[in-house]
Amino acid sequence: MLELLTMLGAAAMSYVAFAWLALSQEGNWRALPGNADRPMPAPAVQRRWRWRAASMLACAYALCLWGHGPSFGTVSWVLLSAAGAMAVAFTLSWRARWLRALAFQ
Amino acid sequence: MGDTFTKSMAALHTWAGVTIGALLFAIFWMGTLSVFSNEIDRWMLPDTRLEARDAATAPSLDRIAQAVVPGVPAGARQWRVDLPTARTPVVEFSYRGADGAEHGRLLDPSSYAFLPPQGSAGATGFIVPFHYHLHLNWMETGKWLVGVAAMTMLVMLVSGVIVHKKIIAQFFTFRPRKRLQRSALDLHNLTGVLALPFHFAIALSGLVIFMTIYFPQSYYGAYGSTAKDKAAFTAEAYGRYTRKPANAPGPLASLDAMRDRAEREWRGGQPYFVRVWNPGDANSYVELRRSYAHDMTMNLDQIYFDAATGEVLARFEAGPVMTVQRFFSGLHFVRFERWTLRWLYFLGGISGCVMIATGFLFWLEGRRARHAKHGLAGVAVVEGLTIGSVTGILLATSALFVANRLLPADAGYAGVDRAGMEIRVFYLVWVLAFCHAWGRCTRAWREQLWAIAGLCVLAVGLNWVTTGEHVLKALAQGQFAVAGMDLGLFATALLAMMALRRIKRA
Amino acid sequence: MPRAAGATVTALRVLGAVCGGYALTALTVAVGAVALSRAGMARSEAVALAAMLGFVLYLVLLLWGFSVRRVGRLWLGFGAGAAVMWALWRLLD
Repeated sequence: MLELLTMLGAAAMSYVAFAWLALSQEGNWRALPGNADRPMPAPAVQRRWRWRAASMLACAYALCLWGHGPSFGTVSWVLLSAAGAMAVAFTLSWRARWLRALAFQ
Repeated sequence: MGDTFTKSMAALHTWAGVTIGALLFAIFWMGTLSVFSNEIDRWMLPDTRLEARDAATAPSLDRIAQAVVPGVPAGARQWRVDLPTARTPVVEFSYRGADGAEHGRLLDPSSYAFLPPQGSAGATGFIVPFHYHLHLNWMETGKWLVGVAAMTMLVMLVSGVIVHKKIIAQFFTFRPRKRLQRSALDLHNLTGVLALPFHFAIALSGLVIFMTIYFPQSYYGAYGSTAKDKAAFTAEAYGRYTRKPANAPGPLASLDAMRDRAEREWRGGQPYFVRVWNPGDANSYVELRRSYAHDMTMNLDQIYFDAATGEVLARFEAGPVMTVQRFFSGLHFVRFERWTLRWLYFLGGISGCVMIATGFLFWLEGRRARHAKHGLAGVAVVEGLTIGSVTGILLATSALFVANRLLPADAGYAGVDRAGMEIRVFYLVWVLAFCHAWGRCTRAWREQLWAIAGLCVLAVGLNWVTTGEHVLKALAQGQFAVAGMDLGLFATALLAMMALRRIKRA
Repeated sequence: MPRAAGATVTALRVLGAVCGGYALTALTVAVGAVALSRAGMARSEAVALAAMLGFVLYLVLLLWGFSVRRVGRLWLGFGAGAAVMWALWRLLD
């Protein structure tokens, strides 16, 4: 059970982290409904999003290490990062409006 | 890094892909299935759907010996039992006869009774070996082909990154509503870049496993090139103890006592298999190896006992560099018991298959446009090859699972047993898929996707009919492997239908 | 390929990069294993380390072999590498 919970927790963190990373890029931010004509958030905001993403990824790694140990934890984190990033890409393609909740500055 | 460098890398990426793509997809697909090989075995070998036992209730080795030793023929060189694990709830008994041929039976770890012959190689007997040697054993040809494919994959991963000019800008880009060539390229880049560490590590670790085959020159200088030198290296690196038989009869002491001794030496580590060498001989000896079910590194810890007295004869542990090699091996083999991580590996494998298939699609669509412009006909041949290599092998795999449920227990023909018949169904359907692809051209994509969906659903239905277990019942009984396989088959059918809709719009 | 000038050049490049690259890597791995064991590493360990690093070396040689502008330079480069390895081999013997 602990194994599953730490995986799910780290997966969620990975998803949120990559969502912020994606939103910090203009092309992806504009994909959200209604953002096509709005002014792009300031570079400071973009940097903030990237910092949040990095911190969240670090937290995910820490959680993986805590729940699965050094080798399993590292491998899990690398794979969860890939999965999280892909999930964000698919969200942007099909349900971009879901990311609106994370686009807070 | 000038423009010609990128151009040469682009050409390399394209031509390497065209040359090795079909083989690479087969290897990657079988590898992806291999992640769940033990689980697929439960589905394909219904008598092995036993309750999983925990480590505390490990079966008695002496009772196992009581059950199996009478079946070991005189002159056999060795017999072994692989102990049950959480994923494989049966005892796997095998022996090597005097002629060198291997024979095996399965036992129920609770009753110590033999299970009836399953008449199927299962996933571990067919799919896994296909993945690493393509069942081409003459002069290790299969392993060499797989090695070439793995090396080519490394080259393509690096060249692909070099060629992908907008790698940062398009990090999350996937446009499924664009025309097929664009969508395929997007998905190819996505699966390639985001899972790049996985693909690279898998290819490299696969090569490292067979390093002594691919670089025998590594020990030529330090040891020599004769068979004896190779044996010396193998003994020093991987551990090996041998003792000549006395050619006089001798008893077998308590295996359970040896296991207890081993567990004390390994500070709680359990053996995962027991092998008795030269059984029945006065100089017979027993080999135990430590389980790595909870480690990434596939340790080489082994202890050898005198069969008659139970005294320790020899011990072995891998050195630091070999431990690294075994860590890489463990990264690739995925033998550990962590089902959540196992699922991640499976998804990684799927992403690799998607990467290769979309690469093919992208190239094919580009070729189609170019050939149409110049009035050439070569696309038909290449398209047929692609269809057979991608949907064809998926179709053959579905047929394998259907055949597994359909073939009667006494099936056999011209010296080929039931297990062999199952495998022949796989190859026959694969060949037919190529013929169908070349005959029907572009329409073959849709037709084969329909067939895959149909066969997958049929397989689930046949499992229900032939074993009485459907998904809900399997879940209720704790048979997660069987439920997972049924759900996986459903998911494959679903994905095939989704792909159908997508290419219809192409 | 840069200045693709026919099947012969392509064949020479593929042969040089794939076969020549493997030959040079194998030679380096053999020499490397001996060198490491002479330096004090246990023989089996040295062999394992050299073999594992061999794959990385082969990857680098392949990428260089397919990107170097002139095929002649490819063969020259690998030839020079082989000569260096052979010299090292004689030194270690």
